[in-house]
Amino acid sequence: MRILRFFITRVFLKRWILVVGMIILLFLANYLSFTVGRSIISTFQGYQEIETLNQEGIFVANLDPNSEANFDKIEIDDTQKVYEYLNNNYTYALRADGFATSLYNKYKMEVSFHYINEEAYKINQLRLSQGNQLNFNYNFNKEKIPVLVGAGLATTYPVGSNIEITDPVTQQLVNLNVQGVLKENAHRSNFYAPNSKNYFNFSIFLPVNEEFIQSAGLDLHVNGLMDIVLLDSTKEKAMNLNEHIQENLGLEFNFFNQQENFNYFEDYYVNSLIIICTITFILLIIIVFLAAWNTLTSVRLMIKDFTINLLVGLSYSKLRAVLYSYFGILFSINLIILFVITAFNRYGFWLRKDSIFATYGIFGLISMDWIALLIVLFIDFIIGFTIVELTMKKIKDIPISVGVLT
Amino acid sequence: MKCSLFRFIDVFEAFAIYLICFASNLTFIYVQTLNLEGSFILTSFLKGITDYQVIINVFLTFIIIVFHYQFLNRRKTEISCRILVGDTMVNIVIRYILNSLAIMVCSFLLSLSLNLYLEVDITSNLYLVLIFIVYILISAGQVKKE
Repeated sequence: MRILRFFITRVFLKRWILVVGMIILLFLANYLSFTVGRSIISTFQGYQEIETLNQEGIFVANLDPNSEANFDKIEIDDTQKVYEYLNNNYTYALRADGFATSLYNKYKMEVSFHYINEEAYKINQLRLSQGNQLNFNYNFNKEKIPVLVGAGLATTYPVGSNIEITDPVTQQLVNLNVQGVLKENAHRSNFYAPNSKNYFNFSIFLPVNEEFIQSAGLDLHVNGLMDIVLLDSTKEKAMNLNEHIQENLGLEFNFFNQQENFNYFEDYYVNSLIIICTITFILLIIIVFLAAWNTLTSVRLMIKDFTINLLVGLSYSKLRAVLYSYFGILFSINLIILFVITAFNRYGFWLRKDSIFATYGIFGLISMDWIALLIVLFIDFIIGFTIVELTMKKIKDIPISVGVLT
Repeated sequence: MKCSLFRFIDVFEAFAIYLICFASNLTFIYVQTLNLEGSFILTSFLKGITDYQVIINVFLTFIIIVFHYQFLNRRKTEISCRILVGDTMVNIVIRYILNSLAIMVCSFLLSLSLNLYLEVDITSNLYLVLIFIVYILISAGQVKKE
């Protein structure tokens, strides 16, 4: 410990510019590894969510990007016809997210309404921390609507409480009854960008049944169609629906089946992740190369201190231990900086009242942040080992007599 | 480079470090011009890095400070010897500044070819040139004898 303190205060910090240079380079390596680690974890989580749709008989709707869509021409009667046709001929999962509304809550966050039908609810399996699962058999306008609320709303609206609010899609005053509370950080990954997530800590989930759909406005109808999922269907039936939508709404949809979705996602994810890993690997090599250069220049300047200490009894193994401890301290400083930046970023969503990104976590960090920090720690071990062993080799290569005279 | 404090290996090191800084800045700018709409994963990954482009570039320029610092520290004995055989400190400092600028300009000119290849605006690296000139002038004050 005394040797380490001696080396840090009398040798390394005497040339503090080199120490700062090393901290900066190691921080760049850590930040890069952290960003990539988190991106890969998030993509993997998103892929797992979406994988539930890659089953036989499932067709996912997607507005044809090559078609011209004129939403202004769509009338409520037309969309009602489409939903009537859907209800009579298909089993489908409908989900419409993100209808923002203002509802009093302890954190003064904007609350978003999410509409989900029974089939979509079964597929998504929202996990609850309190209360009961949603009930879809209720009479709209006659009974209270059972809802699930996000963890951030649980203190203001606990299980059993009632919320009276104008529903953003039906524009009617509705009475909601809190049936259950979602687990903290319940989220949904974007279908086409699985590494981006919307968190439901300040969301309300409303069960949608046929009656509700018929009372809803155009927004819910059109939004719901965008990501509609046909279950137990065939390509022919999906094409029939496409024709029906085209006839009534003038919108052209693609309905992708299991194999098409699987191929698309495999190509898309795998290629993107390969490119990200390659870029990261190249950048890490460059940064480690610069860090090694920085260390070797440090050795050039500090060789006299090293060799004098070796001459008066410091063993190579002790010197190695000193170097490992020194780099351990540098990596710890960087990890703390990274931790503080990440926590501050997460806290920033709360400060900005950004309800779809506000999350709960230990010291503000969510699970994927902690896993990414572990990945960074592992990469730090490799970088530390490479640099220390390179330094030791360099020191051993310089004869003690030459080192003392430098 | 007659009477210069710079040996070939120093010139090479400085040249390479300047080039790394210029190239990294150009790469950041080039990446932002790429059309990656087809892949949101890639776009968001690159955005996570390019959002901090200026900070990363400024951090990277710190290795130039490291270079000048260690270089001048290693040359203290040589500077003393030169003064002993009749050279003056003013001449040594002027030569040091001119040599450093020459290396930086050569590296900048080579980076211009990368500018043209990537079709990035040729003025993109000028702010780095200014930063490096400031670094060189500050480091000139550190030209000292043993």
